[in-house]
Amino acid sequence: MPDSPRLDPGLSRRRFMSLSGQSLLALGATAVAAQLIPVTLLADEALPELPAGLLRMGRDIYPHDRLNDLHYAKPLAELLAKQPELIADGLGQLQASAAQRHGQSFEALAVESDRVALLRAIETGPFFRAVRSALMFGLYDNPALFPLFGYEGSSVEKGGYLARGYNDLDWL
Amino acid sequence: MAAKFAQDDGDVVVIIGSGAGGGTLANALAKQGIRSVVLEAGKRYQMKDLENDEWAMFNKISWLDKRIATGGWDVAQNHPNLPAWIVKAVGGSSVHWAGVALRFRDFEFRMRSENGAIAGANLLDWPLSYEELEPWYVKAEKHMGVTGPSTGMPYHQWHNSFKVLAEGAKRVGYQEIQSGPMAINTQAYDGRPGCLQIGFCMQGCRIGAKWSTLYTDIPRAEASGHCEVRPQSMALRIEHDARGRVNAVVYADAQGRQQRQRARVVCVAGNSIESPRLLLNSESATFSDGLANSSGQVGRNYMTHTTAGIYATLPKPVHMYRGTTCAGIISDESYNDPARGFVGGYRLEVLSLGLPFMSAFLDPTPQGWGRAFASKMERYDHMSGVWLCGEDLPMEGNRITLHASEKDQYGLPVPVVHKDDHAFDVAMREHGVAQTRKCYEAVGASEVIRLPSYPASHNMGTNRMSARAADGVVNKWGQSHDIPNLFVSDGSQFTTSGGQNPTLTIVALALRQAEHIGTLLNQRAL
Ligand SMILES: Cc1cc2nc3c(=O)[nH]c(=O)nc-3n(C[C@H](O)[C@H](O)[C@H](O)COP(=O)(O)OP(=O)(O)OC[C@H]3O[C@@H](n4cnc5c(N)ncnc54)[C@H](O)[C@@H]3O)c2cc1C
Ligand code: SF4
Repeated sequence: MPDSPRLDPGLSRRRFMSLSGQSLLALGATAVAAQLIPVTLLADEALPELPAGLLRMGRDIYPHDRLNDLHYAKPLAELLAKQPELIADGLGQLQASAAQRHGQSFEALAVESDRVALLRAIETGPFFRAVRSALMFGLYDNPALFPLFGYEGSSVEKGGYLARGYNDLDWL
Repeated sequence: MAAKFAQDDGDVVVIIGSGAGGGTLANALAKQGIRSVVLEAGKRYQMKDLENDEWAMFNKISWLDKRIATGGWDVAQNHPNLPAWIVKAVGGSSVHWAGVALRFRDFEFRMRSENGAIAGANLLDWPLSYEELEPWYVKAEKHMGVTGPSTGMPYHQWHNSFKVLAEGAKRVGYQEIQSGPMAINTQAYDGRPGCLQIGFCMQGCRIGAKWSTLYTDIPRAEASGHCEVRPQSMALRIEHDARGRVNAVVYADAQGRQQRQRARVVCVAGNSIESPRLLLNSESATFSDGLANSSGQVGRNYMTHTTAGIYATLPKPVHMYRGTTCAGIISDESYNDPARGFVGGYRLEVLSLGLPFMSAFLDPTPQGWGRAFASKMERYDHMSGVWLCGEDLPMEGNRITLHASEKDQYGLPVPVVHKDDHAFDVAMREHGVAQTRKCYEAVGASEVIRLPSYPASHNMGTNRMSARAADGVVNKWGQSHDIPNLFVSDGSQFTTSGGQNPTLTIVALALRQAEHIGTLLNQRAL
C-alpha cells in the first residue's frame, strides 16, 4: 500500500497499524493513533545508558521487530538500577559463554538462533527470569503500547463497550 | 447504622471471612435479627477503588501471604507460591469473581452412587439432594440477581468472543449454548445498574452490575444494626471451653495486636485454604489434630475443578476484551457419561484476558519466550478463549497442611497446598481441550493454544459435608460433626466439586445455613 501523500514522508502509513496488521483507525482509536506518532518518533530520543548485550537479550526474549529499542531499554534500565549485581553478573556470564562458544560478544552474534541457544541455556536462572519479568510488564502492561497489540485498556471512563463495539463482529 | 459489639459479648455469632459465604451469611443472619461480628483479614475498599487495570487490582486485593504449592499439578511448577487466586479484602473473592452462576446438576450430588467407588478417589455422595437445595438456588438467584427465570432478567447479549465460540460450537453440533446464567444485571435490579460491558469483571465491577458482598450484603448487614465488620482482623485460632464448645476467636488487628472476641457460634468462611488451616491451627489438648477433625478429613479432598485455558487465533479481529469477561457457556458436555473416559461433566466458558494477563498466562513455563511467544502476542486482538470448568475428583492426598517451620507475618505456619491430578481429571482435560479446538477450528482458527492451569480461583472440599461423622467434617447444614456450635460456611463444605462454578452453591448453602442457625438459636440448641 503506498504511503498517503498527505502524511509526513517520515511517517509511513504502517505506523497506524497494530502489530497484527489491523488499522488503528478502524479500532476507533484516533486519539490513540495520534499518540502513537510520538511513540514511534521516540526513536530519536536518547536511549538510557544500557549495556548493548542486555538490550539485545531483551529483544530476543520478546522479539517484536517493529517496536522501537526505547520500549525495551526503559524497563531494562529500571531493572538494572534496581538489581545491578544480579544483572551485571548474569550478563557477564552470558558474554563469557558467547565468547567461549563463538569468540564474539553476545550482541555481535549475527545469527538469531545462536543467541537464542545461549539464552535457552540460562532460561531457568534468576538473571534471565528477572529480565524476562521486567520486560513482560514493560511491554505488555504498558498502556502506551496497548494499541499496538489491539488492546484498548481501561474502559469504564468511556462508558464501557455497550455502545462501543462489544458485539460488532460481523465476519462470521 | 453499623453496630459495635464488645469483645466480651459472648452472645454474638463470629463469622470469619466476608466473601461469598461469610458476607451472605452475615446479611441473612442480620435479617433475622441475629447479631454477628465479621472478622475479615483484608482491608476495606470502596467501589471507587476498583480500577480497570489487571495487575493493579491483582496487587491491591489478592491474598499474597506466602503459600507453597506442591504435587503434580502444573500450578506447583508455574506458580510455586501462588497456588490459588483468592482475594484478601472485604467482599473476599466475590470482588474478583466473573459472575458465572450455575446450579449443580442433580447427579452431581451423588457421584458415588452414580459411578461406584473409583480407585484413587475419595468419592462420597453429598448428604443433600438437588431437590433439597433447589428452593435455595431460587432464593440465591433472586438474592444475587442472576439472569434467567428466577429474576426474569434477560441473558446478556452475545459479545464478540462468544459469537465466535458459539458459532464454532454450533458447527460441531453443540446445542446448549447460552450467555448465562450470570450474577450480572442486564437491567437495573436490586438497586444496582445493568451491565455496561466494561469488560473488567475480574478486576471488580466498578459500577456494581455484578453481585459482590462488598457492596450488597456487607453494607446491608451493617445497616441493619445487627452486624459489625472488622477489616484487617486475621483470625489466628478458635478457642473452646471445657465441654469442647467453641467460645472465642483470637485475631490479629491492623496493628498486629492480638484481640479476642467471645462467641456463641463460630462460622468459618475463609475459603478452602484458610478455613482448614484455621481449624488445624486451633489444635488444643482436647483436639490435638485440630478442631472438628475427628475424621481426619480437615484439609483433605482439596479440589479446584479440572481446568484449562484454551485460546484460538481467528482469521479476523475479535477484541475479546470488549464486554463481560465470562458471559458465554457451552453445556453439552455437562453430563455424567463415563464412555468419554472420565466421570462427571464440564462446561466450556468463554473467558477473556486483557493483554497484561495474557502475557503472564499464555506460557508461564521457563520456555515461554522467544519468536513463537511474541508472534502469538502480536495476534492478541484476533484471539478468543475458553476456560474449562469440570468435575475434579476428591483425593485424600490432595490437601492443605501446615509447614513444619516456615511462618507467615502473623507467626502462623505457612499452608502447603498439595495436589495431584486423578487419571480421570487428565482425561477430562484432554477431552475438553480437543472439543474446544474443534469448535474454534470450525470457525477458521489458525492456531489453538493451550494454556497451563491458572492459580486456582475455585477452591473446594477441605472441610467436606458427609452423612457420617467418620467420612467428613460437617453435616448437611455445614455444622461440625464434633462441635455443634462450629459451622463451615464456604466452599470447603463441598463433598464433590461438580462441574459447575461454585459460588451460587456457596450462596445457596449460606442462606440455608443462616435459617438453620436461626432455628437452632430459637430452640436454644446452640
Ligand atoms: C478471578 C476469579 C474469577 C472467578 N469467577 C467465578 C465465577 O464466574 N463463578 C463462580 O461461581 N465463582 C467464581 N470464582 C470463585 C469465587 O470467587 C469463589 O468461589 C467464592 O468467592 C468463594 O467464596 P468463599 O466465601 O468461600 O471465599 P472468599 O470469597 O474468598 O472469601 C474468603 C474471605 O475470608 C477472608 N479470610 C480468610 N482467612 C481468614 C482469617 N483467618 N481471618 C479473617 N479473614 C479471613 C479472606 O480475606 C476473604 O475475604 C472466581 C474467583 C476468582 C478469583
Ligand atoms: S462487564 Fe458488566 S459486570 Fe463486568 S465489569 Fe463491566 S459492567 Fe461490571
